[in-house]
Amino acid sequence: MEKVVTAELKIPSSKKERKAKTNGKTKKTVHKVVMYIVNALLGIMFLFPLIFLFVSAFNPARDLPSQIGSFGDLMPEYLTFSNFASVFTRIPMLQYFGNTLLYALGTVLGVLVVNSMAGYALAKINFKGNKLVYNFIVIMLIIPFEGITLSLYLVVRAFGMVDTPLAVILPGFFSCFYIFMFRQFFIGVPTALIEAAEIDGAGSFTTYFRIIVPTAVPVFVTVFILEFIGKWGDYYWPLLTLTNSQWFNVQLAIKSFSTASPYHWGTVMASLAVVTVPVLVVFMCLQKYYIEGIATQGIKDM
Amino acid sequence: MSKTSLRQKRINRIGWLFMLPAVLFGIVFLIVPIVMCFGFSFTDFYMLRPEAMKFTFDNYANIFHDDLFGKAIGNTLFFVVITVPVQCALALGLALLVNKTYKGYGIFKLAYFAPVITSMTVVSLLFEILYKEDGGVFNLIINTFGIAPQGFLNDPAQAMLCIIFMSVWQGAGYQMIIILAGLQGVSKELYEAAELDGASGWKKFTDITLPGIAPISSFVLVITLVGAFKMFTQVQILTPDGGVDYSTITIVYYIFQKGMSEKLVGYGSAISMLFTVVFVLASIGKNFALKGVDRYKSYRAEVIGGGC
Repeated sequence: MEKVVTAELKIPSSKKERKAKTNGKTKKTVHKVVMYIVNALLGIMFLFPLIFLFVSAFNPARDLPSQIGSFGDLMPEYLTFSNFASVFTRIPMLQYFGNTLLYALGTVLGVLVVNSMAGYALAKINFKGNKLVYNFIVIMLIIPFEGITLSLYLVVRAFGMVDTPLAVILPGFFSCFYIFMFRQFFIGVPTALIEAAEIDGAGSFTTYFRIIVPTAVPVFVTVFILEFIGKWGDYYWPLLTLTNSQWFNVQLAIKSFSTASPYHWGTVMASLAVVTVPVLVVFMCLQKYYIEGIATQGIKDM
Repeated sequence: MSKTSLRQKRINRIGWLFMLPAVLFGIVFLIVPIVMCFGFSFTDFYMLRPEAMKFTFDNYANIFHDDLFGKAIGNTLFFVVITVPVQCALALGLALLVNKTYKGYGIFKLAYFAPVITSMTVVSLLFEILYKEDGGVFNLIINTFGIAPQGFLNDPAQAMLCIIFMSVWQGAGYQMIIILAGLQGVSKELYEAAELDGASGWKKFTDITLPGIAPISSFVLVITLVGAFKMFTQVQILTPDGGVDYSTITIVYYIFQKGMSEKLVGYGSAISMLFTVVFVLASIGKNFALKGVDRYKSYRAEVIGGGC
């Protein structure tokens, strides 16, 4: 393909070439400016709901104005922190934060241990049944979580875990997707590294935790942030298994707070903002890994 | 017995030891629920009276006479058929917009991606206020342009479109990131060669960019499709009880309503089974589609290669 294209190259005369070059340069600048403007306009439109959310969180007004003449009317008269204060005084927001952190970190820890070990075994240990298990996991990747929630709920209930943290932590440990992801990573680890460690007399588990895991830090971080953000935003499963408000995660908390009376629009907005900021911070810190995790999903699936 | 088989035995033992936690959790929280779901779908299991459970085929017979289930399927398909192409096209557009690495483009990427990090619950509660019929922000805004206030979520004709609009806005950044990775994998030399050839921007797009991201695009389509089929949170928060005239009831919401709210686990399981089977069939279809894309790619390469 490339060969054919280059074969067709016309060599322009030097004068023409120069003209084309300057033309190309202005064209490039115009293109650049246009792209900036388009991106800026679209970006603002895209962010409008979120800007509105964060601005309204500081708005002292009880309700939206009933009529607006301009966008300025949506802006607060002055900024106040009182909305945030009332979020934390009207509901035990700190406890919901604690709950959610417990669920997210608990799940992430289990996810990392369970799936990385399985992924390693499938990638590097040629045990009997390896192929079978791998194929099974690839097939199970298809099964939608939403398709089994009813019976999963019954399992969790049979264990007496409903309305306990275990209900939202344990079922998340096993994940075909993460096993697959870890396997894809570990396949790239040179077998010589493992053999060298074992010749030195290290047992398989020592080799794994001392030698292999340190080389896999990026994939661990990627899984960490994908799962953490996922768990932080989890709504469906906690809705089924956590009915006692004492165990609510932040998403269930803001849902129930949004309908609590007395209704105060600014306070509801503040509660949404409060729940969003921690994920934003985590994302900002580990952005590279998160994006990589999403982006490579596609490539690895090929 | 030879030495190698002893060694192999050791390897087997270690392999399964590494697999053990995954096997345990996988059996309890995935395999058992799947088997249970299959089993319960042939019973009239009612969560409040488990002892009265009987074997029956009625669930599957009833599903096809259940108007509400039909409505849930129709709504879900409507959501999928509009959301998937619109969201993927938007994601492609956004990816092309931020593909060049000019200074400060990180800000734009972040702007398009920000809704993705915002949880669907937050987004739904936010749009509940934006979509409100009386004094909602969108009505206030269109009012300043002299347009009559709309019903939005209260209007059965508009409710699903409102949910689609919000979902596309929330999700497009996700697909944008994947497409962006695909775009960056397309060889720069191809573009340079085409430029020297005097190819127009559009020609470069159709002959280099599109074939270049074809494999990743099919993946993007699949994950968007899968996500759209599972839609739940938006409708549960924005339009409780399936919305006006059940205009926004979806399959997953219907499973939730039957199985959890009405405690009819038997019937809910039958719907779940159908839902899961459709998923499995769809992913088999996906593999065929992927093969098709591969063929398209090689065809494309041949045509371009031969044509120039």
